[in-house]
Amino acid sequence: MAQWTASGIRVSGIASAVPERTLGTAELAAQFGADQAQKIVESVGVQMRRVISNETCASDLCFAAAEQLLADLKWERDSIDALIVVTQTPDYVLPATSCSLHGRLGLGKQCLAFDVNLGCSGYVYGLGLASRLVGAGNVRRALLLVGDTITRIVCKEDRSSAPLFGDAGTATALEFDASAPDMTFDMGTDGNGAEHLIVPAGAFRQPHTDSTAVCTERENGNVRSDEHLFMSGAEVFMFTLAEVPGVVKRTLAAAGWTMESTDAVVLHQANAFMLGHLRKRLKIPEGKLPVALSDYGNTSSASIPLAITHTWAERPFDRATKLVLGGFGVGWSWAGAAVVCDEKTVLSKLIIVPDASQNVGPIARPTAEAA
Amino acid sequence: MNDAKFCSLLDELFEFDEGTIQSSQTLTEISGWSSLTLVGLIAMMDEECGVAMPPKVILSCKTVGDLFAQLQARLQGSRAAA
Repeated sequence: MAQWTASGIRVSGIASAVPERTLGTAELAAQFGADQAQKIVESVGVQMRRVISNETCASDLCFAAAEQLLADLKWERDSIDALIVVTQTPDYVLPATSCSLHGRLGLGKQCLAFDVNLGCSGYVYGLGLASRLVGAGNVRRALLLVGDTITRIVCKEDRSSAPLFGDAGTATALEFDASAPDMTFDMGTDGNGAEHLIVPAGAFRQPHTDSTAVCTERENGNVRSDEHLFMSGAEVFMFTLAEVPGVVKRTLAAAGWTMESTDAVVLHQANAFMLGHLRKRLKIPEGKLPVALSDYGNTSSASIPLAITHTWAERPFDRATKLVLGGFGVGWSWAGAAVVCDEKTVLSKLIIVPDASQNVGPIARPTAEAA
Repeated sequence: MNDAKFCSLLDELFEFDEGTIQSSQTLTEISGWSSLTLVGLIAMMDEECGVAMPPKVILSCKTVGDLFAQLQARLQGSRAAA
């Protein structure tokens, strides 16, 4: 069973970055008609989405978040021994986005770096991996960069996904601290759900061809290509009902917490309808379940840290605050964590990334001579 | 839960006047049927009866009555198991 408790690791800070451009209900009404748009907004609870408008990558948003957080924490770059990047919208097939970000951030050569290819469960997985690395040997500080630009793989004519997703990048700083409260994790997987949330073509199982890039009409009149994201909302909902209450309960039990003793349950911000249903199922008091997607949309792997920085922006942690985190989705993959934030946890102000300005473009594109 | 109660819950879900939906009605031809109402239907059965009905099973039902029969079979199954 993938469940453990880690000691001596502190969440030192969290920063979130979103693109400047916003899309609201007017754009939705133009695409799908006012009636449909209204129904969708009411159900998914997204009034406005933050959407990149150029060639911006998830790494650009994560870079902006990381720069801000390192400045706020006054961390020296060579004090970071581990860099974990969680994204499903990487810069390149290879190298790993963690390696290119390592270079851009100017981290030291003693720093390990790797990518994790997970979506909505990915933030909690990243925390879990960091919890095993920090304090191991002489790894003292870790940077966890989590973000996605899902809007780049969504067909804007696909009613089942286009109104939902936004883009965001986040940075979480973790460090060894013998006095830090324990962190507890519970994780799981059901690979039989892979087909329900998938980009079928464009990688290696079904490589790009002219036909995989052609948009055609699919179920319920939705339009997309095989290189776009397919999501069966009903199957996602079904999976959520089956797995999420269990992982939250197991995480609480393993940490020795109760719903009463927990300050907040921060779940992946899938959509407002689903969060409302989970709140009822898990009997979570209304004030303890942040719903923070109205201004951003579903930001995939970034949604949990973004929900934290959004929810506590105006009232930073002024005491030990017990958070249960729950990530779930594409895979199917899920993870729960019991984490304590306190007055030492730095929450950076939301970073708005202007179009293109943070985007350094491709690293070292080979010239004809070099090639 | 009986047939009439189930139909009235569907009326509520689709925002119809009470008594609009009949059990002989074709499920996917209910006015307003969409992927959103499918999710709403799963949520309603989970909330009202504690039954998580797979989308494939729902879509294999022709009429509202067929779906109610599936729901009852699952309710009886869970009672027998308990």
